[in-house]
Amino acid sequence: MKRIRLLAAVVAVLALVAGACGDDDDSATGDDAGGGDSTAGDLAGQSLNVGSANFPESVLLAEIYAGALEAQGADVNVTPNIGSREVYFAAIENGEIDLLPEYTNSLLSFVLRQDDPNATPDATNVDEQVAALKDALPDNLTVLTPSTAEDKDVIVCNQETIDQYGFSDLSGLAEASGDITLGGPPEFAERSPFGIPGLQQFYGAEFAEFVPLEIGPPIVDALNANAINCGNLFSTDAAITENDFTSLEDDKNIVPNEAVLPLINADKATPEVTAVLDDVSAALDTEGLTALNAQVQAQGLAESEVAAQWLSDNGFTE
Amino acid sequence: MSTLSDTIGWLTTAENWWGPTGILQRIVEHLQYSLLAVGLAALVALPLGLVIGHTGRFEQGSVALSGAARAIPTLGLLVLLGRWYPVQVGPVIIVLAVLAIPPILANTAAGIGGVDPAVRDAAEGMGMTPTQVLTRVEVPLAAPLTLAGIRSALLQVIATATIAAFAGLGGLGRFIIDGFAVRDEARVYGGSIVVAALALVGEGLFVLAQRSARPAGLPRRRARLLSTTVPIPPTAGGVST
Repeated sequence: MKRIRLLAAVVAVLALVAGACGDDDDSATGDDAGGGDSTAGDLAGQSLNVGSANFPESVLLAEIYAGALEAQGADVNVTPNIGSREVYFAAIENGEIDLLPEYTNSLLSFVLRQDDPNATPDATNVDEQVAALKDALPDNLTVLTPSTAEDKDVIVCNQETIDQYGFSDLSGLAEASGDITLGGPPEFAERSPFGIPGLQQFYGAEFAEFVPLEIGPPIVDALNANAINCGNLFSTDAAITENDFTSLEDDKNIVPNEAVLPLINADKATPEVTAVLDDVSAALDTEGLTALNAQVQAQGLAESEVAAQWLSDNGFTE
Repeated sequence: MSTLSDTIGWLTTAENWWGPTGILQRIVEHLQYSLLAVGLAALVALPLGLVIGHTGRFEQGSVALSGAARAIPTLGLLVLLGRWYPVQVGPVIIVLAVLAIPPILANTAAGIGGVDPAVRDAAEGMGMTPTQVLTRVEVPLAAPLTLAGIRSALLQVIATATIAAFAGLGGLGRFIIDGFAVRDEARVYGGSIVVAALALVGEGLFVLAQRSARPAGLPRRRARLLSTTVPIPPTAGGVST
Protein backbone atom coordinates (compact mmCIF):
# COMPACT_ATOMS: atom_id res chain seq x y z
CA MET A 1 0.00 0.00 0.00
CA LYS A 2 2.76 2.38 0.99
CA ARG A 3 4.56 1.55 -2.22
CA ILE A 4 1.47 2.21 -4.30
CA ARG A 5 1.06 5.62 -2.65
CA LEU A 6 4.66 6.46 -3.32
CA LEU A 7 4.25 5.43 -6.94
CA ALA A 8 1.13 7.55 -7.26
CA ALA A 9 3.00 10.51 -5.80
CA VAL A 10 5.86 10.06 -8.25
CA VAL A 11 3.46 9.81 -11.17
CA ALA A 12 1.64 12.92 -9.99
CA VAL A 13 4.89 14.88 -9.72
CA LEU A 14 5.98 13.72 -13.16
CA ALA A 15 2.61 14.71 -14.60
CA LEU A 16 2.96 18.18 -13.07
CA VAL A 17 6.47 18.57 -14.45
CA ALA A 18 5.36 17.31 -17.86
CA GLY A 19 2.37 19.67 -17.76
CA ALA A 20 4.58 22.58 -16.83
CA CYS A 21 6.95 21.80 -19.67
CA GLY A 22 4.01 21.61 -22.05
CA ASP A 23 2.84 25.06 -20.95
CA ASP A 24 6.25 26.55 -21.55
CA ASP A 25 6.38 25.10 -25.03
CA ASP A 26 2.90 26.33 -25.78
CA SER A 27 3.72 29.88 -24.80
CA ALA A 28 6.80 29.64 -26.99
CA THR A 29 4.73 28.67 -30.02
CA GLY A 30 2.13 31.19 -28.87
CA ASP A 31 4.51 34.01 -29.77
CA ASP A 32 4.08 33.01 -33.38
CA ALA A 33 0.30 32.95 -33.08
CA GLY A 34 -1.78 34.54 -35.78
CA GLY A 35 0.47 33.69 -38.71
CA GLY A 36 0.28 30.94 -41.29
CA ASP A 37 -1.66 30.49 -44.47
CA SER A 38 -4.38 28.38 -42.91
CA THR A 39 -7.83 29.06 -44.27
CA ALA A 40 -9.24 29.08 -40.74
CA GLY A 41 -10.57 32.23 -39.17
CA ASP A 42 -9.57 33.85 -35.91
CA LEU A 43 -9.89 31.55 -32.91
CA ALA A 44 -9.44 34.27 -30.29
CA GLY A 45 -11.60 33.57 -27.27
CA GLN A 46 -11.84 29.82 -27.89
CA SER A 47 -10.09 27.60 -25.38
CA LEU A 48 -9.22 23.92 -25.72
CA ASN A 49 -7.54 21.34 -23.53
CA VAL A 50 -5.54 19.05 -25.78
CA GLY A 51 -4.47 15.66 -24.41
CA SER A 52 -2.52 12.69 -25.64
CA ALA A 53 -1.98 8.99 -25.00
CA ASN A 54 1.21 7.84 -23.31
CA PHE A 55 3.42 7.22 -26.34
CA PRO A 56 5.59 9.66 -28.30
CA GLU A 57 3.60 9.72 -31.55
CA SER A 58 0.43 10.66 -29.71
CA VAL A 59 2.23 13.42 -27.80
CA LEU A 60 3.67 14.69 -31.08
CA LEU A 61 0.26 14.81 -32.76
CA ALA A 62 -1.27 16.55 -29.74
CA GLU A 63 1.48 19.21 -29.90
CA ILE A 64 0.80 19.66 -33.62
CA TYR A 65 -2.95 20.10 -33.05
CA ALA A 66 -2.29 22.48 -30.18
CA GLY A 67 0.30 24.53 -32.07
CA ALA A 68 -1.92 24.90 -35.13
CA LEU A 69 -4.90 26.04 -33.04
CA GLU A 70 -2.77 28.38 -30.97
CA ALA A 71 -1.36 29.95 -34.12
CA GLN A 72 -4.90 31.02 -34.95
CA GLY A 73 -5.35 32.65 -31.57
CA ALA A 74 -6.98 29.88 -29.55
CA ASP A 75 -6.16 29.54 -25.86
CA VAL A 76 -4.65 26.03 -25.71
CA ASN A 77 -3.52 23.89 -22.82
CA VAL A 78 -1.68 20.60 -23.49
CA THR A 79 -1.77 17.57 -21.19
CA PRO A 80 0.55 15.00 -22.76
CA ASN A 81 0.98 11.34 -21.71
CA ILE A 82 -2.35 10.99 -19.93
CA GLY A 83 -2.19 7.21 -20.15
CA SER A 84 -3.82 4.35 -22.00
CA ARG A 85 -7.03 4.69 -23.98
CA GLU A 86 -9.03 3.53 -20.96
CA VAL A 87 -7.71 6.52 -19.00
CA TYR A 88 -7.77 9.31 -21.55
CA PHE A 89 -11.09 8.31 -23.05
CA ALA A 90 -12.69 8.78 -19.64
CA ALA A 91 -11.03 12.22 -19.44
CA ILE A 92 -12.39 13.39 -22.81
CA GLU A 93 -15.79 11.86 -22.14
CA ASN A 94 -16.23 13.84 -18.93
CA GLY A 95 -14.92 17.06 -20.47
CA GLU A 96 -11.56 17.42 -18.73
CA ILE A 97 -9.96 17.12 -22.16
CA ASP A 98 -11.43 18.52 -25.39
CA LEU A 99 -9.22 17.14 -28.13
CA LEU A 100 -7.04 14.05 -28.65
CA PRO A 101 -5.28 12.43 -31.60
CA GLU A 102 -6.78 9.00 -32.29
CA TYR A 103 -6.59 6.05 -34.69
CA THR A 104 -9.69 4.85 -36.54
CA ASN A 105 -9.74 1.09 -35.94
CA SER A 106 -8.33 1.15 -32.40
CA LEU A 107 -10.78 3.83 -31.28
CA LEU A 108 -13.73 2.12 -32.98
CA SER A 109 -12.83 -1.25 -31.41
CA PHE A 110 -12.57 0.41 -28.00
CA VAL A 111 -15.87 2.29 -28.29
CA LEU A 112 -17.73 -0.82 -29.47
CA ARG A 113 -16.31 -2.83 -26.56
CA GLN A 114 -17.80 -0.34 -24.11
CA ASP A 115 -21.22 -1.84 -24.86
CA ASP A 116 -20.23 -5.40 -25.69
CA PRO A 117 -16.87 -6.80 -24.52
CA ASN A 118 -16.75 -9.19 -27.47
CA ALA A 119 -17.67 -6.68 -30.18
CA THR A 120 -15.31 -6.24 -33.11
CA PRO A 121 -15.69 -3.64 -35.87
CA ASP A 122 -17.20 -4.66 -39.22
CA ALA A 123 -15.80 -1.52 -40.82
CA THR A 124 -12.47 -2.06 -42.53
CA ASN A 125 -11.81 1.02 -44.65
CA VAL A 126 -11.44 4.53 -43.28
CA ASP A 127 -14.77 5.88 -44.55
CA GLU A 128 -16.73 3.03 -42.96
CA GLN A 129 -14.75 3.39 -39.76
CA VAL A 130 -15.46 7.14 -39.50
CA ALA A 131 -19.16 6.59 -40.17
CA ALA A 132 -19.26 3.82 -37.54
CA LEU A 133 -17.39 6.03 -35.06
CA LYS A 134 -19.83 8.93 -35.47
CA ASP A 135 -22.59 6.44 -34.81
CA ALA A 136 -21.01 4.69 -31.81
CA LEU A 137 -19.34 7.58 -29.95
CA PRO A 138 -21.15 9.24 -27.04
CA ASP A 139 -23.19 12.28 -28.15
CA ASN A 140 -20.75 14.77 -26.65
CA LEU A 141 -17.84 13.43 -28.74
CA THR A 142 -17.14 13.35 -32.45
CA VAL A 143 -14.31 12.72 -34.88
CA LEU A 144 -13.13 15.05 -37.64
CA THR A 145 -11.79 14.34 -41.12
CA PRO A 146 -9.04 11.67 -40.96
CA SER A 147 -5.57 12.18 -42.35
CA THR A 148 -3.90 9.78 -44.75
CA ALA A 149 -1.26 9.16 -42.04
CA GLU A 150 -1.68 5.68 -40.64
CA ASP A 151 -0.01 3.85 -37.79
CA LYS A 152 -1.04 0.26 -38.34
CA ASP A 153 0.43 -3.23 -38.25
CA VAL A 154 2.76 -3.87 -41.15
CA ILE A 155 5.13 -6.64 -42.24
CA VAL A 156 8.60 -5.31 -42.98
CA CYS A 157 11.59 -7.20 -44.38
CA ASN A 158 15.31 -6.55 -44.12
CA GLN A 159 17.31 -5.44 -47.13
CA GLU A 160 19.01 -8.83 -47.61
CA THR A 161 15.65 -10.55 -47.97
CA ILE A 162 14.29 -7.94 -50.38
CA ASP A 163 17.48 -8.13 -52.47
CA GLN A 164 17.15 -11.90 -52.67
CA TYR A 165 13.43 -12.27 -53.35
CA GLY A 166 12.42 -8.85 -54.67
CA PHE A 167 8.83 -8.88 -53.42
CA SER A 168 7.01 -5.70 -52.40
CA ASP A 169 3.65 -6.96 -51.14
CA LEU A 170 2.24 -9.74 -48.97
CA SER A 171 1.27 -11.81 -52.03
CA GLY A 172 4.92 -11.82 -53.08
CA LEU A 173 5.96 -12.72 -49.53
CA ALA A 174 3.48 -15.61 -49.54
CA GLU A 175 5.00 -17.04 -52.74
CA ALA A 176 8.45 -17.12 -51.11
CA SER A 177 7.11 -18.00 -47.64
CA GLY A 178 8.58 -21.52 -47.66
CA ASP A 179 12.03 -19.91 -47.29
CA ILE A 180 11.02 -17.11 -44.95
CA THR A 181 11.48 -16.88 -41.19
CA LEU A 182 8.93 -14.44 -39.83
CA GLY A 183 9.01 -12.62 -36.50
CA GLY A 184 5.98 -11.29 -34.70
CA PRO A 185 4.44 -10.99 -31.25
CA PRO A 186 3.38 -14.32 -29.72
CA GLU A 187 -0.29 -13.70 -30.45
CA PHE A 188 0.58 -13.35 -34.15
CA ALA A 189 0.94 -17.14 -34.33
CA GLU A 190 -2.73 -17.60 -33.50
CA ARG A 191 -4.43 -14.44 -34.73
CA SER A 192 -6.55 -13.83 -37.82
CA PRO A 193 -6.79 -12.05 -40.17
CA PHE A 194 -3.46 -10.36 -39.33
CA GLY A 195 -1.50 -13.35 -38.10
CA ILE A 196 -0.18 -16.70 -39.25
CA PRO A 197 -3.66 -18.25 -39.71
CA GLY A 198 -4.89 -15.16 -41.61
CA LEU A 199 -1.82 -14.99 -43.84
CA GLN A 200 -2.36 -18.64 -44.63
CA GLN A 201 -6.06 -18.25 -45.29
CA PHE A 202 -5.99 -15.03 -47.33
CA TYR A 203 -2.56 -15.17 -48.95
CA GLY A 204 -1.75 -18.91 -48.91
CA ALA A 205 1.47 -18.30 -46.97
CA GLU A 206 3.24 -21.24 -45.27
CA PHE A 207 6.28 -19.86 -43.45
CA ALA A 208 9.43 -21.87 -42.85
CA GLU A 209 9.53 -20.69 -39.26
CA PHE A 210 7.82 -18.26 -36.92
CA VAL A 211 9.85 -16.60 -34.16
CA PRO A 212 7.80 -15.02 -31.36
CA LEU A 213 9.31 -11.62 -30.45
CA GLU A 214 7.93 -8.38 -29.06
CA ILE A 215 7.11 -5.60 -31.53
CA GLY A 216 9.80 -2.93 -31.35
CA PRO A 217 13.53 -3.30 -30.60
CA PRO A 218 13.52 -7.15 -30.33
CA ILE A 219 12.10 -7.49 -33.86
CA VAL A 220 14.32 -4.69 -35.19
CA ASP A 221 17.44 -6.36 -33.74
CA ALA A 222 16.44 -9.76 -35.11
CA LEU A 223 15.87 -8.25 -38.57
CA ASN A 224 19.24 -6.51 -38.49
CA ALA A 225 20.98 -9.74 -37.46
CA ASN A 226 19.04 -11.56 -40.21
CA ALA A 227 17.79 -13.96 -37.54
CA ILE A 228 14.39 -13.31 -39.13
CA ASN A 229 13.72 -12.23 -42.72
CA CYS A 230 10.56 -10.27 -42.07
CA GLY A 231 8.69 -9.11 -39.01
CA ASN A 232 5.68 -7.27 -37.65
CA LEU A 233 6.22 -3.58 -36.81
CA PHE A 234 4.02 -0.48 -36.79
CA SER A 235 3.93 1.50 -40.02
CA THR A 236 5.24 4.78 -38.56
CA ASP A 237 8.11 3.17 -36.60
CA ALA A 238 11.21 5.23 -37.29
CA ALA A 239 13.28 2.02 -37.23
CA ILE A 240 11.82 1.08 -40.62
CA THR A 241 13.50 3.94 -42.47
CA GLU A 242 16.57 4.05 -40.20
CA ASN A 243 17.44 0.42 -40.97
CA ASP A 244 16.37 0.39 -44.63
CA PHE A 245 13.59 -2.12 -44.00
CA THR A 246 10.90 -2.42 -46.65
CA SER A 247 7.22 -2.28 -45.65
CA LEU A 248 5.19 -4.78 -47.63
CA GLU A 249 1.90 -3.66 -49.11
CA ASP A 250 -1.15 -5.46 -47.74
CA ASP A 251 -2.57 -6.01 -51.24
CA LYS A 252 -5.58 -7.98 -50.02
CA ASN A 253 -6.41 -5.53 -47.24
CA ILE A 254 -6.46 -7.85 -44.24
CA VAL A 255 -5.12 -5.20 -41.83
CA PRO A 256 -7.80 -2.71 -40.74
CA ASN A 257 -6.95 0.93 -41.44
CA GLU A 258 -5.61 3.01 -38.54
CA ALA A 259 -5.87 6.53 -39.92
CA VAL A 260 -4.89 9.38 -37.57
CA LEU A 261 -7.82 11.67 -36.82
CA PRO A 262 -8.88 14.16 -34.13
CA LEU A 263 -11.30 13.00 -31.45
CA ILE A 264 -12.99 16.14 -30.15
CA ASN A 265 -15.61 17.37 -27.75
CA ALA A 266 -18.58 18.16 -30.04
CA ASP A 267 -19.14 21.57 -28.41
CA LYS A 268 -15.58 22.62 -29.16
CA ALA A 269 -15.72 21.51 -32.80
CA THR A 270 -16.70 24.93 -34.11
CA PRO A 271 -16.37 25.49 -37.87
CA GLU A 272 -13.17 27.50 -37.25
CA VAL A 273 -11.53 24.80 -35.08
CA THR A 274 -12.65 22.11 -37.52
CA ALA A 275 -11.13 24.02 -40.43
CA VAL A 276 -7.74 24.29 -38.70
CA LEU A 277 -7.67 20.59 -37.74
CA ASP A 278 -8.79 19.57 -41.25
CA ASP A 279 -5.86 21.53 -42.65
CA VAL A 280 -3.51 19.71 -40.26
CA SER A 281 -4.92 16.31 -41.21
CA ALA A 282 -4.58 17.14 -44.91
CA ALA A 283 -0.90 17.96 -44.40
CA LEU A 284 -0.07 14.75 -42.49
CA ASP A 285 0.86 11.50 -44.21
CA THR A 286 2.42 8.22 -43.07
CA GLU A 287 5.90 8.98 -44.41
CA GLY A 288 5.88 12.43 -42.87
CA LEU A 289 4.72 11.10 -39.52
CA THR A 290 7.40 8.38 -39.63
CA ALA A 291 10.04 11.05 -40.24
CA LEU A 292 8.71 13.07 -37.29
CA ASN A 293 8.82 9.96 -35.09
CA ALA A 294 12.42 9.43 -36.17
CA GLN A 295 13.32 12.89 -34.91
CA VAL A 296 11.82 12.07 -31.52
CA GLN A 297 13.04 8.47 -31.22
CA ALA A 298 16.43 8.58 -32.92
CA GLN A 299 17.52 12.19 -32.45
CA GLY A 300 15.99 12.56 -29.01
CA LEU A 301 14.26 15.86 -29.80
CA ALA A 302 11.28 16.92 -27.69
CA GLU A 303 7.87 16.26 -29.27
CA SER A 304 6.95 19.94 -28.87
CA GLU A 305 10.12 20.99 -30.68
CA VAL A 306 9.50 18.59 -33.59
CA ALA A 307 5.86 19.69 -33.74
CA ALA A 308 6.84 23.39 -33.83
CA GLN A 309 9.24 22.77 -36.70
CA TRP A 310 6.61 20.81 -38.66
CA LEU A 311 4.01 23.56 -38.12
CA SER A 312 6.46 26.14 -39.37
CA ASP A 313 7.52 24.02 -42.37
CA ASN A 314 3.89 23.48 -43.35
CA GLY A 315 2.84 27.11 -43.04
CA PHE A 316 0.76 26.83 -39.88
CA THR A 317 3.09 29.19 -38.04
CA GLU A 318 5.59 31.70 -39.34
CA MET B 1 -12.77 -22.15 -10.06
CA SER B 2 -13.18 -22.32 -13.81
CA THR B 3 -9.53 -21.31 -14.15
CA LEU B 4 -8.57 -24.37 -12.12
CA SER B 5 -10.70 -26.72 -14.19
CA ASP B 6 -9.50 -25.07 -17.40
CA THR B 7 -5.91 -25.59 -16.29
CA ILE B 8 -6.52 -29.22 -15.45
CA GLY B 9 -8.27 -29.56 -18.80
CA TRP B 10 -5.25 -28.08 -20.59
CA LEU B 11 -2.85 -30.38 -18.78
CA THR B 12 -4.92 -33.47 -19.47
CA THR B 13 -5.50 -32.82 -23.17
CA ALA B 14 -3.33 -35.29 -25.09
CA GLU B 15 -2.82 -33.02 -28.10
CA ASN B 16 -1.19 -30.40 -25.87
CA TRP B 17 1.55 -32.91 -25.05
CA TRP B 18 2.56 -34.13 -28.48
CA GLY B 19 3.90 -32.50 -31.63
CA PRO B 20 6.63 -29.94 -32.37
CA THR B 21 5.11 -27.36 -30.02
CA GLY B 22 3.76 -29.84 -27.45
CA ILE B 23 4.62 -30.01 -23.77
CA LEU B 24 7.03 -32.96 -24.21
CA GLN B 25 9.03 -31.15 -26.89
CA ARG B 26 9.12 -28.02 -24.70
CA ILE B 27 10.35 -30.09 -21.74
CA VAL B 28 13.18 -31.47 -23.89
CA GLU B 29 14.16 -27.92 -24.95
CA HIS B 30 13.84 -26.67 -21.39
CA LEU B 31 16.13 -29.42 -20.07
CA GLN B 32 18.62 -28.78 -22.87
CA TYR B 33 18.97 -25.11 -21.93
CA SER B 34 19.10 -25.95 -18.20
CA LEU B 35 21.66 -28.75 -18.40
CA LEU B 36 23.89 -26.83 -20.83
CA ALA B 37 23.79 -23.83 -18.49
CA VAL B 38 24.54 -25.82 -15.32
CA GLY B 39 27.25 -27.75 -17.19
CA LEU B 40 28.87 -24.50 -18.30
CA ALA B 41 28.58 -23.11 -14.77
CA ALA B 42 30.18 -26.27 -13.33
CA LEU B 43 33.07 -26.01 -15.81
CA VAL B 44 33.80 -22.55 -14.46
CA ALA B 45 32.86 -22.88 -10.81
CA LEU B 46 34.22 -26.33 -9.87
CA PRO B 47 37.94 -25.72 -10.71
CA LEU B 48 37.69 -22.22 -9.27
CA GLY B 49 36.07 -23.53 -6.11
CA LEU B 50 38.76 -26.22 -5.77
CA VAL B 51 41.56 -23.67 -6.03
CA ILE B 52 39.93 -21.22 -3.65
CA GLY B 53 39.03 -23.91 -1.12
CA HIS B 54 42.38 -25.68 -1.31
CA THR B 55 44.60 -22.62 -1.11
CA GLY B 56 42.33 -20.62 1.15
CA ARG B 57 43.23 -17.59 -0.94
CA PHE B 58 40.70 -15.19 -2.48
CA GLU B 59 38.11 -16.72 -0.18
CA GLN B 60 36.71 -13.41 1.04
CA GLY B 61 36.78 -11.94 -2.43
CA SER B 62 35.15 -14.92 -4.08
CA VAL B 63 32.37 -15.08 -1.51
CA ALA B 64 31.66 -11.38 -1.96
CA LEU B 65 31.86 -11.66 -5.75
CA SER B 66 29.59 -14.67 -5.97
CA GLY B 67 27.16 -12.96 -3.62
CA ALA B 68 27.18 -9.91 -5.87
CA ALA B 69 26.69 -12.11 -8.96
CA ARG B 70 23.39 -13.30 -7.51
CA ALA B 71 22.14 -9.73 -7.76
CA ILE B 72 22.56 -9.66 -11.56
CA PRO B 73 19.05 -9.50 -13.02
CA THR B 74 18.87 -12.53 -15.29
CA LEU B 75 16.22 -11.07 -17.57
CA GLY B 76 18.05 -7.75 -17.84
CA LEU B 77 21.26 -9.50 -18.83
CA LEU B 78 19.37 -11.56 -21.41
CA VAL B 79 17.83 -8.45 -22.97
CA LEU B 80 21.29 -6.87 -23.11
CA LEU B 81 23.01 -9.88 -24.73
CA GLY B 82 19.97 -10.47 -26.95
CA ARG B 83 20.51 -7.08 -28.57
CA TRP B 84 23.80 -8.35 -30.02
CA TYR B 85 22.81 -11.97 -30.61
CA PRO B 86 19.07 -12.00 -31.21
CA VAL B 87 17.18 -15.32 -31.33
CA GLN B 88 20.26 -17.36 -30.40
CA VAL B 89 20.68 -19.92 -27.67
CA GLY B 90 24.09 -18.60 -26.55
CA PRO B 91 22.84 -15.61 -24.52
CA VAL B 92 20.26 -17.80 -22.77
CA ILE B 93 22.88 -20.37 -21.74
CA ILE B 94 25.23 -17.64 -20.54
CA VAL B 95 22.69 -15.79 -18.38
CA LEU B 96 21.47 -19.04 -16.83
CA ALA B 97 25.08 -20.08 -16.17
CA VAL B 98 25.69 -16.74 -14.45
CA LEU B 99 22.78 -17.64 -12.21
CA ALA B 100 24.20 -21.11 -11.53
CA ILE B 101 27.83 -20.20 -10.82
CA PRO B 102 27.48 -18.60 -7.34
CA PRO B 103 25.90 -21.57 -5.51
CA ILE B 104 28.31 -24.08 -7.11
CA LEU B 105 31.36 -21.91 -6.47
CA ALA B 106 30.45 -21.05 -2.90
CA ASN B 107 29.61 -24.62 -1.92
CA THR B 108 32.68 -26.13 -3.57
CA ALA B 109 35.01 -23.63 -1.93
CA ALA B 110 33.31 -24.09 1.44
CA GLY B 111 33.38 -27.86 1.08
CA ILE B 112 37.09 -28.04 0.24
CA GLY B 113 38.03 -25.26 2.64
CA GLY B 114 36.03 -26.86 5.43
CA VAL B 115 38.02 -30.08 5.47
CA ASP B 116 39.64 -30.38 8.89
CA PRO B 117 43.36 -29.53 8.68
CA ALA B 118 43.95 -32.56 10.87
CA VAL B 119 42.57 -34.78 8.11
CA ARG B 120 44.91 -33.19 5.57
CA ASP B 121 47.85 -33.64 7.89
CA ALA B 122 46.91 -37.26 8.46
CA ALA B 123 46.70 -37.86 4.70
CA GLU B 124 50.09 -36.29 4.21
CA GLY B 125 51.43 -38.30 7.13
CA MET B 126 50.27 -41.45 5.37
CA GLY B 127 52.51 -40.45 2.45
CA MET B 128 49.93 -38.96 0.06
CA THR B 129 51.16 -36.46 -2.54
CA PRO B 130 49.41 -33.06 -2.61
CA THR B 131 47.42 -34.22 -5.67
CA GLN B 132 46.34 -37.35 -3.83
CA VAL B 133 45.31 -35.28 -0.82
CA LEU B 134 43.13 -33.19 -3.11
CA THR B 135 41.59 -35.98 -5.16
CA ARG B 136 41.32 -38.72 -2.52
CA VAL B 137 40.58 -36.73 0.61
CA GLU B 138 39.37 -33.20 -0.02
CA VAL B 139 37.21 -33.77 -3.09
CA PRO B 140 35.33 -36.80 -1.66
CA LEU B 141 34.79 -35.04 1.65
CA ALA B 142 33.56 -31.92 -0.13
CA ALA B 143 31.35 -33.91 -2.54
CA PRO B 144 28.09 -33.71 -0.58
CA LEU B 145 28.34 -29.94 -0.25
CA THR B 146 29.47 -29.51 -3.88
CA LEU B 147 26.53 -31.60 -5.08
CA ALA B 148 24.19 -29.59 -2.88
CA GLY B 149 25.47 -26.49 -4.69
CA ILE B 150 24.87 -28.02 -8.11
CA ARG B 151 21.44 -29.19 -6.99
CA SER B 152 20.49 -25.73 -5.81
CA ALA B 153 21.82 -24.26 -9.08
CA LEU B 154 19.84 -26.74 -11.18
CA LEU B 155 16.64 -26.00 -9.29
CA GLN B 156 17.06 -22.27 -9.85
CA VAL B 157 18.02 -22.69 -13.50
CA ILE B 158 15.09 -24.97 -14.37
CA ALA B 159 12.69 -22.55 -12.71
CA THR B 160 14.26 -19.60 -14.56
CA ALA B 161 14.83 -21.13 -18.00
CA THR B 162 11.37 -19.87 -18.98
CA ILE B 163 13.15 -16.67 -20.00
CA ALA B 164 14.40 -18.44 -23.14
CA ALA B 165 10.96 -17.69 -24.53
CA PHE B 166 11.66 -13.95 -24.19
CA ALA B 167 14.50 -14.40 -26.65
CA GLY B 168 12.17 -15.98 -29.20
CA LEU B 169 13.33 -19.51 -28.36
CA GLY B 170 11.48 -22.54 -27.01
CA GLY B 171 11.27 -24.22 -23.63
CA LEU B 172 8.33 -24.24 -21.23
CA GLY B 173 8.33 -20.43 -21.05
CA ARG B 174 6.56 -20.45 -24.43
CA PHE B 175 3.34 -21.58 -22.75
CA ILE B 176 3.55 -18.75 -20.23
CA ILE B 177 4.41 -15.99 -22.70
CA ASP B 178 2.20 -17.16 -25.57
CA GLY B 179 -0.66 -17.96 -23.23
CA PHE B 180 -0.43 -14.49 -21.73
CA ALA B 181 -0.31 -12.87 -25.18
CA VAL B 182 -3.62 -14.46 -26.16
CA ARG B 183 -5.13 -14.26 -22.65
CA ASP B 184 -5.26 -18.06 -22.35
CA GLU B 185 -4.88 -18.43 -18.59
CA ALA B 186 -5.12 -22.22 -18.61
CA ARG B 187 -2.00 -22.36 -20.76
CA VAL B 188 -0.11 -19.88 -18.52
CA TYR B 189 -0.92 -21.78 -15.32
CA GLY B 190 -0.54 -25.22 -16.93
CA GLY B 191 2.89 -24.27 -18.28
CA SER B 192 3.93 -22.91 -14.88
CA ILE B 193 2.86 -26.13 -13.18
CA VAL B 194 4.95 -28.17 -15.62
CA VAL B 195 7.97 -25.95 -14.90
CA ALA B 196 7.57 -26.38 -11.15
CA ALA B 197 7.09 -30.13 -11.50
CA LEU B 198 10.17 -30.42 -13.70
CA ALA B 199 12.26 -28.47 -11.17
CA LEU B 200 11.06 -30.70 -8.33
CA VAL B 201 11.74 -33.90 -10.29
CA GLY B 202 15.25 -32.61 -11.02
CA GLU B 203 15.65 -31.90 -7.31
CA GLY B 204 14.50 -35.42 -6.39
CA LEU B 205 16.91 -37.08 -8.81
CA PHE B 206 19.70 -35.03 -7.32
CA VAL B 207 18.91 -36.05 -3.78
CA LEU B 208 19.41 -39.64 -4.91
CA ALA B 209 22.69 -38.73 -6.59
CA GLN B 210 23.88 -36.96 -3.45
CA ARG B 211 23.21 -40.04 -1.35
CA SER B 212 25.30 -42.19 -3.64
CA ALA B 213 28.09 -39.60 -3.52
CA ARG B 214 28.25 -39.76 0.26
CA PRO B 215 31.77 -40.76 1.35
CA ALA B 216 31.87 -44.15 3.07
CA GLY B 217 33.08 -42.61 6.33
CA LEU B 218 30.15 -40.17 6.69
CA PRO B 219 27.07 -40.99 8.71
CA ARG B 220 24.09 -41.61 6.47
CA ARG B 221 21.86 -38.78 7.55
CA ARG B 222 24.53 -36.12 7.61
CA ALA B 223 25.18 -36.30 3.87
CA ARG B 224 21.73 -35.05 3.08
CA LEU B 225 22.06 -31.91 5.12
CA LEU B 226 22.64 -28.62 3.39
CA SER B 227 24.96 -27.50 6.19
CA THR B 228 27.69 -25.07 5.28
CA THR B 229 30.31 -26.97 7.23
CA VAL B 230 31.55 -30.34 6.18
CA PRO B 231 31.07 -33.06 8.79
CA ILE B 232 34.33 -34.52 10.01
CA PRO B 233 34.70 -38.29 9.67
CA PRO B 234 34.72 -39.93 13.09
CA THR B 235 38.06 -41.56 12.34
CA ALA B 236 39.80 -38.23 11.85
CA GLY B 237 40.40 -37.37 15.49
CA GLY B 238 42.63 -40.34 16.20
CA VAL B 239 45.26 -39.52 13.56
CA SER B 240 45.74 -35.95 14.66
CA THR B 241 49.28 -34.63 14.85
